[in-house]
Amino acid sequence: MKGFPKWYMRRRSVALRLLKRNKPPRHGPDLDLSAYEVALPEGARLTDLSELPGEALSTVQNVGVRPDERYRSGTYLQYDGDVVYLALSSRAEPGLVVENLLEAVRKREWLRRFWFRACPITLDKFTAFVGAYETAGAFIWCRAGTRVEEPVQACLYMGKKGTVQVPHNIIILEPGSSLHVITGCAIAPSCVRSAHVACTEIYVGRGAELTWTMIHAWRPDTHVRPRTGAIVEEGGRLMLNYVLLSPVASIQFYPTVILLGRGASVGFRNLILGLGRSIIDAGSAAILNAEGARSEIMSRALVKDEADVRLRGRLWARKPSVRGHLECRALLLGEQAKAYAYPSLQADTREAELTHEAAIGRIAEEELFYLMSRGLTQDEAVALMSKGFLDTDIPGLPPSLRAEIKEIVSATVEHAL
Amino acid sequence: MRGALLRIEDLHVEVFGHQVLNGIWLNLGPGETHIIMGPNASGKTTLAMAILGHPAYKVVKGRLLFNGMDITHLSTTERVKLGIGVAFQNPPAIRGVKLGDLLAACVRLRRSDGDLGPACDLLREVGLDPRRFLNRDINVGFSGGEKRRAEIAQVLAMRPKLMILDEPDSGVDIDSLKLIGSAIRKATRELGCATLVITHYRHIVPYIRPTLVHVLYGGRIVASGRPSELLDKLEELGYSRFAELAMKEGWQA
Repeated sequence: MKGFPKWYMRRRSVALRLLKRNKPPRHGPDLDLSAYEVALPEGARLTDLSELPGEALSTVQNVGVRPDERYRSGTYLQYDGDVVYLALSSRAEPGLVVENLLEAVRKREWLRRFWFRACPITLDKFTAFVGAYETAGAFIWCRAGTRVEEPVQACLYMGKKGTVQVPHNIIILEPGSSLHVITGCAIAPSCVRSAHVACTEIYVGRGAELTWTMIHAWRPDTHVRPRTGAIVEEGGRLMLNYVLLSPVASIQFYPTVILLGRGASVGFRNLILGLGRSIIDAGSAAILNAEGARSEIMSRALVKDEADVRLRGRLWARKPSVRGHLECRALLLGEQAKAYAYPSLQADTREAELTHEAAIGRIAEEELFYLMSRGLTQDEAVALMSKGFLDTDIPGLPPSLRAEIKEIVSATVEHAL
Repeated sequence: MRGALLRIEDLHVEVFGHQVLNGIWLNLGPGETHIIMGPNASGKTTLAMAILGHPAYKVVKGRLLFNGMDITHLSTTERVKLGIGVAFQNPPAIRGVKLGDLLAACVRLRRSDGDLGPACDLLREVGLDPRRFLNRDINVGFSGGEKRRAEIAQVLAMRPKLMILDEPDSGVDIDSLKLIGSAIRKATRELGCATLVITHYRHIVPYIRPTLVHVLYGGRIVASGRPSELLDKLEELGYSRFAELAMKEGWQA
């Protein structure tokens, strides 16, 4: 570990000590991390995304990564434990920085103020694991007033079987800046018995706007434990869009956003396809900690086969004049499929307006018959309703990106049914 | 009878264990428009659903012939492909499914290119602005009149051989009634299709100008005839008295 500052090495040893306590996660099944080898950097570099092996190339395209880098301000590609490609487009605004976090930390002393602040390292064994074993990660930094037009794409690809990928990402938007990030997580078909344990910290400054769209396609034997925390300052806006497209062994996440400044807002859109024997525990939490803060959480899950999907949502009003709405809906498509919704609202102040709606159901026979009366077969009718169920508008996205995501979701649903 | 597009022979239908239709006989030829009138719970919607092949509406006796072919045991999808289009009385509201998606499905039944242009013209014809309605979730937040109009536009887009309209006039104002009535008449003329209109009231009759009116009561057709022969009597007597006399005196046309 050459070239790392002392503060960083100290934090790593703290993380190691925390890891020994083996603090289990609050939700979802536990995971024995000792069963995996940490995927380490091996020094490989690409000069172009098209140099990816054909199989990887088509896989990452399915999660929204554009190998031609068109309509993208920057590209970050992590292959197992290493950043193998990093580039900014010639059109990218000068205030935009995209680096490997483990490089950034060696030259930017100030990053220590952001280290495990939005996402506490003490949260559970997975945050401690990232703190102790992180090998790379995306550092995306938008300087004050920089409004980045085209999205930055970050891709995390896993190719080596039996390993755990351990990225730590930090996204910082300084006051008045704006950015879209699209992250695609994908895995090689041959990458059996692997895991992905990640930590992402997001800092949205005064009046800044970030939309972060994450599209995931794992293997049926992959275990995934991402940890995400965000802090939004006065008037800042954060939009988190999460899309899960493929079967997975187990996944559990519960991103928590603290709205720290007046009028700060956060929106969550979780679109989940529960397939095969997936165990999915998907949460979203907003802490409304300043006057005028706003939050909207929306989760939709299409649950098929023997999948088990739990949707959690939490809105916590700590200051007056805040407003939040929480919606969890699941559509069951199989006899063995299971879905649960756990909405939670808490208000510590009188002038908070918090609402929620949760619904779990199956496709109504009458609706199916109605669509069939218009000439659709039963399968076509189910597919149309399923696509419609997941077709929630994702606000704040540039139209081209919105169309790309819509296309990915629609093609996957059609394929999955 | 030769030349009938739809022939219903002694149809008995059960819904959730209750017998609702008790022997319906009907012949409907291409280009003809028939009206089925009857009070609530007389079996009007059951007749429409049985013709379309709804699985909950079980034919326990009798048969349905379409163009001479026995369709009693065909699936709904097959019947729709043969050219049966039904406008529902209470169409469900489905989130995420757009009116445009359904119109596209309707259009694809007859045109492989799926061109929505003509379907948009149909929407305009029934008074729905395609720019506003194509992208709306089907029937979600639609008013009664908008639902009826959207139903009719879909059925017209299917270019059916047999068009069944289940209470296209319920809950609509007089302007909508005129618009809907004349759209039905025009389509029947242009498509040359057979049309069956189900209704409670006579108000829509002048706009449609039907060939025949049938009065359905207690799961049977108790009288059939030209509108001029039946409607005034029906209005005067009311359904139950009318049915009583019709059965006693045998008013079958």
